[in-house]
Amino acid sequence: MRRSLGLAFVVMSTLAAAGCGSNNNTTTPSSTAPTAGTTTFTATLAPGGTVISQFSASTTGTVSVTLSTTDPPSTPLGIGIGIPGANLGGCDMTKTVQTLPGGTAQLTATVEGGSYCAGAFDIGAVGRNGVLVTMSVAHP
Amino acid sequence: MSRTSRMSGPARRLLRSAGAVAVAIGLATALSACGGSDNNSTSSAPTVTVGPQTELFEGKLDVRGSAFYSFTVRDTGDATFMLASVTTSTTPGTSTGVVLGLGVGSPLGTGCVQTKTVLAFGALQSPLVSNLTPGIYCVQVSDVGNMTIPVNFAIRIVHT
Repeated sequence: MRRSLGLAFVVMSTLAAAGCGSNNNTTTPSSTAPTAGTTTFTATLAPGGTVISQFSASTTGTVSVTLSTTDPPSTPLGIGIGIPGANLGGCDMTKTVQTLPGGTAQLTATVEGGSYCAGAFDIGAVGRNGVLVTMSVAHP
Repeated sequence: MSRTSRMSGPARRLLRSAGAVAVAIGLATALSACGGSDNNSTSSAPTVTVGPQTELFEGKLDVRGSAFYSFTVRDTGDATFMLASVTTSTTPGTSTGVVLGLGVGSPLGTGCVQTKTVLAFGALQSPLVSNLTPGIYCVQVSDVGNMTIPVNFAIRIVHT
């Protein structure tokens, strides 16, 4: 009987310890902070259409938007930068210019940390087959 | 024959008591093990930290017109207002450099009583910052005489 009582003691202690162990199931929250970088994207722009890419600025700084290439080449387009919204292709444009593709940024803007968008839109020069557009956005 | 069966009546009763004590000690040990960590720590209600909230106020502004949007501040802190987009409504997407009035205040009736105003054009920086205590506020955009055609606008509001 003493042996069985001792066994009961051990079992209870073990069960109790196991029950207490539930406190160890903790999860550490994680988050990903935006970092500076360059976003490059390629898309086909339809006649009268818009291509937009979103990015996050990690801090205040200058964003440079470059319409790098178009196919057919040298197609004049509108490019712009703004914030995600309900207007032009899901982007409320802040600053827009009409430009030809080239190797240097055609549009720059000072931003504070947050979410933004940039893209290109047809200003009447896109044929019925569309234009393949490559853009890059360098952001803080 | 078991050992207990050979014991005398008083001895058996003593052993049963000892067993009961052992079970009680076991339970007490188990419970104190669970409770011990609580006693050695400061218990407090979980704190939920809510970061700044971002809201978007978009619309169309007529010549000599104004528009406002109400929002609720839950914690004291800075609210920033960015007139992020001002584009012509006739050629969508084309930005304009027109200067508009941008203000923050409190809604009253069907209007917005502004307490702080600035002149602003479309840019990706916040020209208007106001420290606000919990309550209901409004942001208003208005033509201050510079517009000749209607415009589409977008205002980004970040508040606590």
